[in-house]
Amino acid sequence: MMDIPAPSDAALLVAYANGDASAARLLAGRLLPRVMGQAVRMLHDHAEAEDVAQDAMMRLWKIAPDWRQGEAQVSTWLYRVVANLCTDRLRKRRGNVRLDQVADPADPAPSAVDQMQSTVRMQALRDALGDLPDRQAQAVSLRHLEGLSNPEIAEIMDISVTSVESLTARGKRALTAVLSARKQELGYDDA
Amino acid sequence: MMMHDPKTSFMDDLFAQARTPDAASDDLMARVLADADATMLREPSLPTHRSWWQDMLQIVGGWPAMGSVAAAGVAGLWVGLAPPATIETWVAELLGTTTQITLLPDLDGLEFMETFDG
Repeated sequence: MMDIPAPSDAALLVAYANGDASAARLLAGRLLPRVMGQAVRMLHDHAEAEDVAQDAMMRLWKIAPDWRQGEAQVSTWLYRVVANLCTDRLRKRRGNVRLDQVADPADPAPSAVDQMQSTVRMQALRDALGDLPDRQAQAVSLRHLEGLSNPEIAEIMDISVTSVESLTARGKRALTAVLSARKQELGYDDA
Repeated sequence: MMMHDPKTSFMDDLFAQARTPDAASDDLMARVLADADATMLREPSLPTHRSWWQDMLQIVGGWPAMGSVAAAGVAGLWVGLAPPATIETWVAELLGTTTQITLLPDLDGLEFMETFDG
């Protein structure tokens, strides 16, 4: 028996634009977890990530009638939209809630301590990412949080692979410099 | 084999922790699909590319009108090829006479050839 190939994201988007509501369901089922994951990894805030994910998907629905197949991949376009939305939010956050404003639990159980440690680490990473220049923050997130390859990032950010390498290297170096100063605070003993 | 710089290996650990996948909640999915439905209803329908033939069809009144035109055409052809006796009588009464024109008389061709032979 021959397997029927699954429709591409672009084909589903065009079907949605032509009034097929079931195409939107298929597309959301495919793309929303990825969008949400990217937003959470960049923002480390579930509620904010949900807002970004909903906003990004809304932009996808709106662009559907004008989508031209073959010009870009839907997933690549979405990575770019989510990265831009998250970068905007990270920029706005700068100077707001910082690590010293996170309260300690009253009587921490071991698992709660671990959870708190993880929360503090993620918040520190988020703050440090937010302090990076936008392009560096995007490149570092796509490389080290999304696990994308440099050519994929180059396509998403519309720059050369060499520029991606440069941005990620400088970004990671800057993050390391900032977070090295807080290693003990983050529970990393000096080796 | 990849070497880890002990001074920066904590960064790899941080990134690994941050990569924990996060699924979309049912509530978020419902909101996104509601947006999709609302956007689809709000967006103007795509312009349909109709051919000149479809435009003409619309002008004359669509397929029902075309059916009538076709029926009239078939009836006209039938009357022309095999007119019922009543119509022949009616036409004869109306015009006063029936004129028969023979376009290809049987011997015309031979007479034409004889002219050349002679």
